[in-house]
Amino acid sequence: MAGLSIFNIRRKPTKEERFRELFLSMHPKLIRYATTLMGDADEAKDIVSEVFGRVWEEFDSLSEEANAWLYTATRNACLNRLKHLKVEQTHIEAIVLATQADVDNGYWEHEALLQKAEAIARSLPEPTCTVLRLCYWEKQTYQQVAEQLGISPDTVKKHISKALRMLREEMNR
Amino acid sequence: MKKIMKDENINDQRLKALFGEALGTTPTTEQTEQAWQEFITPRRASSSKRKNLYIGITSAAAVLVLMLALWPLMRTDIPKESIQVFASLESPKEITYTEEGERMEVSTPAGTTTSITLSDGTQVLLGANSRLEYAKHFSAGKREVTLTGEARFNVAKDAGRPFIVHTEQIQTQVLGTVFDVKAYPQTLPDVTLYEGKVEVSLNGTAPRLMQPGEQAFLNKEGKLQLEKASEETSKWAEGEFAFDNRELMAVMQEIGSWYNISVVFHSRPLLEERIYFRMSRKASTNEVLAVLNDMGIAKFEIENEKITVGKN
Repeated sequence: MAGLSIFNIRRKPTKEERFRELFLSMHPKLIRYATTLMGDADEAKDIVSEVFGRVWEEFDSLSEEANAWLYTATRNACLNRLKHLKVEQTHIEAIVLATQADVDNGYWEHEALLQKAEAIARSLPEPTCTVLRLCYWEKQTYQQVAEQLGISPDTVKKHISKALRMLREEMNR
Repeated sequence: MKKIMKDENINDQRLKALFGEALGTTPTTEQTEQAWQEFITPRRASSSKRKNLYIGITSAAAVLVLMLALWPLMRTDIPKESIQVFASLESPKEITYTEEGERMEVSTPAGTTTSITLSDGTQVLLGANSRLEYAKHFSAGKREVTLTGEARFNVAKDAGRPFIVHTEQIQTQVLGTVFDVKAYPQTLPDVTLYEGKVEVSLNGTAPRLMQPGEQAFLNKEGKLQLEKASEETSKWAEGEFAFDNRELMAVMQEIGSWYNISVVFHSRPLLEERIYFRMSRKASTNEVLAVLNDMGIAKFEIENEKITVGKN
């Protein structure tokens, strides 16, 4: 700033400005992603802010791959945190399986698939939509969902398997 | 057969996670902006301190002082919530004039204002801890200056040569008028218009026309917003702190920027506490804090060359 000539005003965006752009576009996505993996919004917040802290340190060497790097780092941080919290091994393995394909292909199709899933979700009838949200976003058990909606656990299972079949078909189209 | 089972399992797990995410709640723009502020504020403070390290390395005493200043940042266990609302700046001990060919620069220390007359007759009152860069003789086409900090401009009329004030984020373009620009690093900038007409724009975006009595500022979403200015805004040029029903955070930012001292809050609710406060700017920091303490709203102290604001 000190050496800036007043006739040379158009300056390159600073590190902070470039970082702010990345942060504002990716932070909400990563929060939602980490919340699904962790099943806990506060844990997700801590993890994402830690991930951004590391990116801040390495930002100059991070280029167009930044988004994929952020997703992968968030996923790894979530798994480490779950291990630390001594969450059941089967649950952690389920998350490893769920995220394996994304890691393998560098998350390049993750957001596209997500958009498709959002579109399908909007067209789901009730109570299927609510059942899915309670099971897979709020991470409630079939029993809890059944109690909350005043239906039997078997009915919850039926909604889920019907929804999954439908989603599989729609996603493969 | 086993392989196929596993593949099915993978796809189902992925599908479940994907729909969990798709049906989940995405944080709002405001929540994201708040997360950004919480993220960047401590990092800004630490990077500007690191810059100091290289400048101050010649003097062992300066390095020692810096180590002390960095000490709270190096600690990993933060005992209480700390929200820094103003970070002290590098500013000279006395008013400094620099001349390099056509390029002129004036810097002010804490607690001082100075008047400058530019080559076209425009008068500038430069606020504390501020820097103005300008050309000794303006070119034929336009008049441009660059400001960090706060200044009042009384621009000489010259319809053929627009007068432009550049700051880090906001640009103000005028033909002849009186207005204030406030653009300290790390605080949201604003422009207050008293007479005439000016156009403000944000980093080269479409300019907006201001009317006298209006204030343009960057809101929390990072957008330029116009509102009627409160009367107290003009008081700085008369040597007064004047706050009527203002949020304590804004009050302390102005006090911090006048005395060039960092301000840290240890209580989030106090940021939004509104106060009425008037005092001469000639008072010392301790005198101002004593008066604030007498109001009984919060506890104001100086610790490690910082003002801290905490609950009583």
